[in-house]
Amino acid sequence: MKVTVELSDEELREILRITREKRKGAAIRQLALEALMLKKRRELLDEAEAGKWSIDLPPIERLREDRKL
Amino acid sequence: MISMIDSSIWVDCVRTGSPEPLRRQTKTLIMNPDSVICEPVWFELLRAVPRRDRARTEALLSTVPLLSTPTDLWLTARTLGQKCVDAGALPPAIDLLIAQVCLHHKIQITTFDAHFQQIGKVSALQVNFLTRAR
Repeated sequence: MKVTVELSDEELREILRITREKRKGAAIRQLALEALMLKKRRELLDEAEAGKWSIDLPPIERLREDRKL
Repeated sequence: MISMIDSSIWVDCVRTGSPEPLRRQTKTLIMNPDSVICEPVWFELLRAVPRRDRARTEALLSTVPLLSTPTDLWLTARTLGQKCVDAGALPPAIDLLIAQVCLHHKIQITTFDAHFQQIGKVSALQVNFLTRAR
């Protein structure tokens, strides 16, 4: 799907510089996806911090016990 | 600085019964926009996650950029392990695989696991070794 985004020349220059992309569309796409992933990560971790979910995992020391023969 | 988040950090962030200060500490590390992950960490975590938590765990891990796995990983990790043995250390096999991915991509690892310090003594691995918040 294509969308139209209004940006100033200065903002677009910054986006191209930060993303190191040459094409405007690819730069904006990269930035949007990175922001989306960070927001999703925060949402899931906020829920975990609030006690809404957790995982029944053993401590890392048990996960990393190499085989006992 | 780009940093691999080790499984030890992930486990303490989402594990049932993890103390509040430890959850906060690990969340901050994982939320760093320069955090990355690798396939051995995916493997180590997801092979131990109960069925009911798998979809959510995968959704969480998917929000972190995944580094490519070097094609010669098994061979180079074996050599790395042999260097450790020659220095008198025997880190777990999975640590060697994770460390070797970091060495390949020239990035540091953030971890609570002291075995990576042993690996750092025999290689160029940059280790951000942390102690757990209490």
